Amino acid sequence: MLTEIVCPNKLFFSKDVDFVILPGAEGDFGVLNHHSPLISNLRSGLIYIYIENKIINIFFIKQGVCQITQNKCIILTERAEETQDIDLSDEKIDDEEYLKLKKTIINKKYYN
Amino acid sequence: MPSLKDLRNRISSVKSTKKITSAMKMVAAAKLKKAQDIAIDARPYTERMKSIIESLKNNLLTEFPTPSLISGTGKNDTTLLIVCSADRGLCGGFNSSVIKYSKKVVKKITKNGGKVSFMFIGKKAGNAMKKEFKNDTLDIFSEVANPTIDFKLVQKIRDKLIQYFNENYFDRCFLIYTKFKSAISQEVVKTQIIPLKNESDSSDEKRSYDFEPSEEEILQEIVPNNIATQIFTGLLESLASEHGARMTAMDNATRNANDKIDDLTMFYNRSRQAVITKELIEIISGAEAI
Repeated sequence: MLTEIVCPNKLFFSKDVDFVILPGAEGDFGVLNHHSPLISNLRSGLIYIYIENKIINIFFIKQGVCQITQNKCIILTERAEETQDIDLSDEKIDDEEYLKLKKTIINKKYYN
Repeated sequence: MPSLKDLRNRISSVKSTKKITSAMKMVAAAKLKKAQDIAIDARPYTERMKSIIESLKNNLLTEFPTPSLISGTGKNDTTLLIVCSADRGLCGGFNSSVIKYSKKVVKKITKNGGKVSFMFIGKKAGNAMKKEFKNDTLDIFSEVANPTIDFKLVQKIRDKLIQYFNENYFDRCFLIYTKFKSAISQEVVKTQIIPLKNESDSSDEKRSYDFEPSEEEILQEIVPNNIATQIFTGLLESLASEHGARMTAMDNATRNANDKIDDLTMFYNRSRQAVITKELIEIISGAEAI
């Protein structure tokens, strides 16, 4: 299943993967190959990407929308980041709301 | 006939102009490369957004009370034109072709009894047209592309646009910008951004999508986003076009300056030789007289 995360300024991620967990507007959901066509809003949150039952990437996104067709999963978001690259202590981000959101969500992830 | 000193001065002034234009050409070329890369990087988002909007449009339920950003206000009385131009001049016909095109659009609309209002992004077109349409100008944004176009800024413009729409300032909205084809060819185009629905739309592809949460909520989220994306793309194209136009214009100017220098130098040498010959003749004929 081709999964793409697209931001306004670039194609952020594009890869053939097995399984994706998305932060849907009404709760997280997983997408496998041959999912029924779906268009959904996404909350700010984490996207987990699996290949062969292993998480290979965890991305943080700031809201968005996704379109799922037979074997394609397209995620449009304003901002996306690889969680491993996120260094919460030294941020030069002007967007305070975004930073706060990121902090809570990422802390929660480690907490779980 | 100009004196030799005059000619020398002219040559040196053309030379310094040439220095400026060739420097500007280099700068424009570097900026063009960057602007082009950014425009290309932004393309996937626009394409995906378009495809989602298409699927949404094709799946719209008829009994569904569509928000007016999608179906419009039901009239076509007032049209808002968002005109994208540059902040600076010296870029050939770039700004004037945008202005010319906008005036043509205005003429067409007013001929059918419609009214127009304006929002300018980039002050060149704004300054040129605000005299004529003083009462119809809602906003002029300048220095948008400084240093690069920020999506957040576009969102601010979008918010203002939606606010105007909700206050019934206009019924539909066109974006006029310059589409980048290559460094030497650009084309001014207009696209309709509000309402989303177009009369010419055909729904060929039908696929039953599930919606989460509901179609209405998704539309509320995605339609403003789509407007921002369209403005964003328009601005990126416009910026690339501006640099392309400037590069071409400056290239021409440099070439003209070269030609001018050649001509002047030739003329200068001829005159110099003429002066020498004249002096020689004077001396010789003076000597003969004795």
